[in-house]
Formats: sequence, structure tokens, C-alpha cells
Amino acid sequence: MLKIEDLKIYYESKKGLVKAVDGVSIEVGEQETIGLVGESGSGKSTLGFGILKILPKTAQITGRILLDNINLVSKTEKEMQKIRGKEISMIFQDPMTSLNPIMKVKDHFLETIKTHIPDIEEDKALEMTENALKAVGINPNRINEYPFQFSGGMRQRVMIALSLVLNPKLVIADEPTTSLDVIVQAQILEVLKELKEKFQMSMILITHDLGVVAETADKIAVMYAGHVVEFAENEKIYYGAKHPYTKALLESIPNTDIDDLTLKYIPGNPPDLVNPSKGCRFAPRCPFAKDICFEEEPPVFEIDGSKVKCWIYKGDENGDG
Amino acid sequence: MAMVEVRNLKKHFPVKRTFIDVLLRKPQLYVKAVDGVSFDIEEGEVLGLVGESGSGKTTTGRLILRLIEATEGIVKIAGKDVYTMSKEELRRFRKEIQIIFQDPLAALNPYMKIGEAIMHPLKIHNIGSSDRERKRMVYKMLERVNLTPPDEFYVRYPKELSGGQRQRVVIARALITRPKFVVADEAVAMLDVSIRSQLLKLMLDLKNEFNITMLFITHDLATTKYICDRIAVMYLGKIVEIGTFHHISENPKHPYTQALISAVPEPDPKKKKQKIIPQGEVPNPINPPSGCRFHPRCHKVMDICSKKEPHFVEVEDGHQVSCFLYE
Amino acid sequence: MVQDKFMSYKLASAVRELFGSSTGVITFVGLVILLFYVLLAVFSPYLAPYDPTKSVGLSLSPPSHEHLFGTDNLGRDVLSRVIYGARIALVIAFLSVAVAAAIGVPLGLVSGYIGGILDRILTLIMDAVYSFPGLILAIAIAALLGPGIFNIAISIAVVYAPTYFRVIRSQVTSIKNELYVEGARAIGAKRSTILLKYVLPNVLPSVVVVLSMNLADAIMTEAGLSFLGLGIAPPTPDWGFDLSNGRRFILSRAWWALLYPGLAIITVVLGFSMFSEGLNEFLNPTVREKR
Repeated sequence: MLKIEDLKIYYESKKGLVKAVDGVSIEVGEQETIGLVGESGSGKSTLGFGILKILPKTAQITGRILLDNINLVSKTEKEMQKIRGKEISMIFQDPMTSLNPIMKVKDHFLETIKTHIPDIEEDKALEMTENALKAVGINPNRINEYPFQFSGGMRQRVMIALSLVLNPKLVIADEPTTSLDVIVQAQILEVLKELKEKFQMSMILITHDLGVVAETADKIAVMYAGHVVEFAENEKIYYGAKHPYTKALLESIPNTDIDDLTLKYIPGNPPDLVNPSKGCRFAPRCPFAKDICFEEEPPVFEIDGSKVKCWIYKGDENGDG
Repeated sequence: MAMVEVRNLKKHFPVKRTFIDVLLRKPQLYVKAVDGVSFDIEEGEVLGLVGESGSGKTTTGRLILRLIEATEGIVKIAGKDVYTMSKEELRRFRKEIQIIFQDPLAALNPYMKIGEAIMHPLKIHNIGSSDRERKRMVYKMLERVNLTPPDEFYVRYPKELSGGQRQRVVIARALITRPKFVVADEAVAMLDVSIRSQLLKLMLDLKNEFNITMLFITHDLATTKYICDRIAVMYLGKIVEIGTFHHISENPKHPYTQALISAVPEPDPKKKKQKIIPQGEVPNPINPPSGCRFHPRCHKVMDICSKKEPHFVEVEDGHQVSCFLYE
Repeated sequence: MVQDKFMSYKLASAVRELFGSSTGVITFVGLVILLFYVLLAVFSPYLAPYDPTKSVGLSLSPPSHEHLFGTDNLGRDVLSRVIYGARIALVIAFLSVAVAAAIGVPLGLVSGYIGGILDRILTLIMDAVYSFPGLILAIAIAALLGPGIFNIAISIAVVYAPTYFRVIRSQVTSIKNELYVEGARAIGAKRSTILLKYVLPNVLPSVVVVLSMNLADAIMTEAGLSFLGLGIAPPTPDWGFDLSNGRRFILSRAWWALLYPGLAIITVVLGFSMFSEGLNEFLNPTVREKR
């Protein structure tokens, strides 16, 4: 349904050209949830915003984003406005700043609906609003309230309802639970899982927390320094991580298992995206790095259904990679 | 004698009344951020204080260091009562008690070089005989927290460092006076997973090296495992359960603790846990629920829960819980 | 990068940044105007063709080769008076702004940081002064103190001290809640140390901005006072005084005696405003990030 091919997003900064997303290819199938996992600076949010082309003016975007075989990269801003909210919508990290504090909840919805369906009747629009709110577990009586009258978790539910009101094919959720407490996070994840089935949509869930995607996603794409280093089904990532970075990331997650008291971590810091080293970007922190890793950027190898961008798997691939 | 003794600590923040409220003689309302907290921390021990936002865990940390004044209660650190000290005595005593903040960028003066920031506590407390000696001490500390080469980091400004490096600076500044007691307030919460473990390891090593007693405040139960000897779970200004990590994670007694543990996302896709997620969110601390404060969200609520406040019951050795299920 | 270490590289990147936006250009133009007047003031004995206080030609002669800007009613060279006038204007402006800052900044710091009764009283006084129309207050004080460079500077300073006070106080009240101030308390720093090492450096950028904005206002106020005859005693060359003097002969079609001092006031004020506008943007990191 959504196919991203060799997407590159570079933007100007004071230090120079930042290669935030540098040659990413992933696919999102119908009703599939893709978890996009990475640390800060990995380019995961830039990729998410890039799909909707909500980028700073200095950003250069190349490659292809195919939504049902229509390339979004070549669309103009005006054409994108028609797609945003209707075909693809977005859920942001901080619901307080993405909702207008002086607008009633109802008006947020009406504005979104009327932008895309200008000649809709008020009653019909209100009905759509109420249905969307009901779907996320908010009493429709509250449509005349303002965002500040909602608690953090309820506000995020409003955001989710707002993103769903026009029945988009794809929802991009950028760290939707990061600013919430664990219990509320669990509630919201539950809501997202239900809605995915009810609305039959695809979803890209951007997060730094492998635990969050494991509970909701079908496939996981692990990003590191602008590259997708591993892309595979959920269970394959957890039980058969291929890329050294994925392995290290999994090991460094603290779990509540009392017997496992070793504190593992990845030494060093993520690379600078202005002047990334040539070769594999994880090589300087990688315990398995060979000479070639510092010289040449690895291609994507396909092993047992996992796509891995690592030289270790050269020669092991089945399929064309 | 315990290194830190906290008894019935309370902080009630007055809610600002408008002029009209005063005219209408509306009663002064209070946010009961911390409402009767008691615990001990033994020398060299790390106590984890776990809770959601609004539980009062951060306020508790600040009250213990008397960075804000308590409404009621006693805090003794190394046998000295923090609340009977004069301002000047307290200022001198700060050499022994330190804090590591959550947001290292906000905790550092943007116009002060890293080296100066770490040296400042030494100057304030007259440690070291000359600036040269103090500089040597700062260099040593920079090396100890892995900010090498130290002469390069010494002259940098906070914004030129990464998040993890900044937190190392804050840790270095807090530990350079060799304090006896340190409050770590969500010290690793803002960092990425891979960096978080690095910092946890560093704090654990330094704690053992300098024999520090610590209060480790966090919302993330999983991180407490590595560093905490005991854990106290807070809900709406009160501690509901206290015990070792083993007690809390393997045998949680309080329904709130149970909910907190089951809500943690599990990275293992096959370990889909049976989740007990309470409805709603943490209620307003201005008007906390009567009786046990968790009763409106509790799935095991009984009649008595809304009427009386539960007492602490020792369910096993060193494991106490405040819930009527066990009284 | 190695190249970072070279001064020339730093300078070049600063210039590039300066011209990267329209405000950068404005700042640069303002700076050029300012430097021009500062040079006039410093080198006036060498630049001025005549002694500004002596009659060197016919009364009210129009601009000519001998007197490029013409002469005034007493036969003094207008060009020379404009050049020397820069001295008085700038000296009084800088002096008054320095005095205003010396009053307003420390009071603002203390008032904002300590708060309580002291803060209320100081705020009340400063607000009372602030709410008074500036020029009228300056007139009253100038009349009380009498003429003279220092007295004029003080009467202007009194008008502008509340501006510093208000800006600094409001900044301090927000900065004192910053985590790094709490951090300073946590390491056991004294109040005075916190104020000087943690609070002051963080308000200094705004002090500089207010300073540069006030310079323009101070020049205007000084010109106003002189215009009303409350400024520097004649025959010292002063733009404001010359402006009011020239106004008397406008009916004699002697426009030059009015135009040139007036132009000098306008351009120098414009220069200061343009410069301070740009300075504000450069020193205010929050404004810059958004660009």
C-alpha cells in the first residue's frame, strides 16, 4: 500500500548538510502496523514527517514515496494538503501543543472535516465527530469542552480521534505515548490496537521504545543514523535479531527479570549526521566490525525474511537482497 | 542509625486564589503533593522511589534536601535534622547532600563552562588549597566520568555536548564534594536506551566507589533493578508499598503496584502478559479520594477502602504494604 | 574541524550569517551609521572646517563652497556645528544610558530575586516613574538640576532607569525558577554568588539590547531638552539647540540652519534603532532558533 524507495531527506543546518534520512526503503502493507524504532537522531521522526512532506523549507527530499502507486515526492504542497488528514494522518507526541488551546474540541474536528469535504452538512460532520470520539472511549458530550479540560491521556485520545475522523488509509503516530505515564500509555496502546482493527487502516508507529512496538506492531524497522539497518517481522526481531545494533539495543533494554542483573550497553555515541563516516555507520561502535565495514556502506541482504544492512551476511543471502 | 530518616513528611502547596475567591471567602485549597511519607535509608543503600507523574516523588526528593520547605515532618541526614538548621548551616551542609536532576541542559548555567561548573562546588565549600589544585581535582573527576580528554571538555559550554555527556557533567558536579547522600531525580529518564544503560552503570560504579547513600527517583520500575536495594512505590502523595526489588517485581501486593508492573510494555512478543490496567488517570491531589487513595481505580476495592486509611502491614520480611487486603 | 580555530574563518562565517537575512543587513547599515557618528565625534577638531563657536562668515548665508551647510544667524558654520554636535549627543547619550543601567540593573536583579515587600515597593516606585511622560519628567529634573552635561545625563537617566528595572526584574523572576538556579542552591552557593554567576550572565544579553535601544531615545530626549532651552548652555554646539535656533529663521527662508541638525538627529536615531533591532535578534537565542 505504501512503498518507500531509496528515500533521502537532507536539510541545511548551521553545521552543514544533515543527512537525516539517507536511502531508506520500506513497505507498509494493507492493515499492517510497522514499528519504526530508533534512538533520538536516528532519523525516525524525519522519515515520518517526510512521508507527509511536513519538513523545514531547507529540506531536500529525493527517492520515491508510493501511496497506492502515486508518488508523493513529486506532489506539490497544495496536492499534499489534500492528502494530509484524508489519506494519511498523523498523531503527534505532545497533544497539548498540537491542539489549539482556545478552540473547542468540536471545532478541531469540524475544521478538519470541512477542509477536506467543504460542502458537508453540519449534522453529518458532528455525527462523524461523535463516532470518532466514541471509538477512542471519550463521551461525545464533551465535544464543547476545551483541550485544557482534558487530562493528558484523554487529550491524546482526542488527537487519535481527530486523526481517524476521515478514515485515512494510513496513520503515522510519532511517539504517541512518550509523554504519558506507564498506565496511561498502556491504555492508549490498547485503544490503538482496537482502532487498527475497527478502522482497517495501516499504521506507522514511531517510537524509541522497543516494548511499545512489540505490543502493537506486525513488523519492525530499526533505524540507526539515517539508515534502516534491519526490517523484519516482530518476532524475528526479538528472537532472531540479525544486525549487531538491533542485538545491542535489545540487550540494553532493562527488563524486570530479577535473575538478569548484567547491565549491558552500547559504548560510544551515535554519529554526527553532517559528516557521517563512510562505510557502515554503526561500525565504530560495532564489536564485529571488519575492515570492509569502515570502507564501504553495506547493501541490504535478505536472510530468512529479514532485511539486514550488514556486511556479516554477505554470501548468506537467499534471494537477491 | 540510618543515614537518612524521613518521618511523616508533608508538603501542601497552597492553590492560588483569585481576588474574587478571597472576596467570596472561598476556603484556601491545598495541593497535597506529599502527604505523610516515612522511610529510612541505611548507609550505602539505594532506595528507589517509583511513581507516576503527580505521585509526589520529585517533591519528596526536594523536601529531603530542603530545596523547598516542608509543611510538616522530620528529615534527618547523618543524624542531623535538616529542618532545624539555620540557613547558613544548611548551606554548608550541602557539601554532604547533592542532587542529580532529570534535565541536564536545564540544570547547567548556559553561560558557564563545564570546568567552572564542576569546580564551583569546590570553591563554595573551600575544598582544595588553590585554584590549581581544584583544577586538578576537576580534571580527575572529568576523567572518572569518561569525559576525556579533560582539558578539551573543561572549556566547553553545556550546549556543545550531547545529552549523555551533559548528564555526566551534572553527575561530576554533584559528586566532586564527595557527598554522603545524593538524590537522583529521574537522572536517566531523558536519555536514549543505549546511553541510559551507560549512565546507570556509571552511577552504580561511582556509588560503590564513594560509598554514597542514594534516593533514586524514577517512573521506570525496570531501571531500579540495577541500582536499587529497596523500592518504595508512591501514589498520590503516599507510599503504598515498600520492599526489595524482588518483593516488588515478583510478589507485588498492592493492586496499584500490580497495575504499574503489568503496564510496562514487554519487548518479548510471546510474553503477552495478562494486563490489569486500571481505568482513568491519577485524580486531582487537591481533593484526593477518601480512605485509600487508589480505591476509585482499584479492581479489588472493598467497602472499607473508601472509609478508612489503611496502615502499613509487614507481609514478609522487609516487605510492607498499605492495603486492607492484607490487614 | 581545524579551520574553526582560525579567527578569519570565524569572522567570515559571522559575516555570512549577518547577511543571510534582511535583519542582518539592517544591523549592518545601523552599525555603519553609528561608526560614522562616532568617528565624527572623536575626530571633530580635525574634520570640522571652522571653530563651531565663532562667527566665521556672514549671518545666515546659504550653502556655498566656503560653508557647505551655510551659516546660522550668528555667522557660525553649520557643518562644523553639526560635526561637533555629535560629541555632545553621543557623550550625553552614553553617559545617561550608563547611569540608567547602573541604577536599574542592580535594583532589578535584587528586586526580582528576593521578591516580597522590597520587590513591591521598588516596583511601585519604578512604575510611578515609568508612567510619567518621559520628556516632561526630564524637563522637571533638568530644570531642578540646572544645565550642564552631567545634569542633563542624570535627568535623562532617571527617565530610563525604570525600563532596565522592569526588563531585568521580569527576566530574573523567570530565571530564578530555572533548574540551574535551583542547582546552584543545591551545591550550596550563596545568594550573592547565585545572582552574580548564575542569574546576571543570563540577563546580560537583554541589558545590552535595552541599552542600545535606549541610546536612540536618550539622543531624542537630549535634543528635546536642548530644543526647549534646558540643555547645554550656548554657545556649545548642540543639535537640539540649533534646531530650535534655526526654527526662528525659517521665515527668512534660511532652511539650512534647521535642516542639517534635524537630519543629524534623525539619522543617528535611525542608526541606533536599526542596530539594536539586529542586536536583539543576535543576542536573543530563542528568537534565533526559530529562523
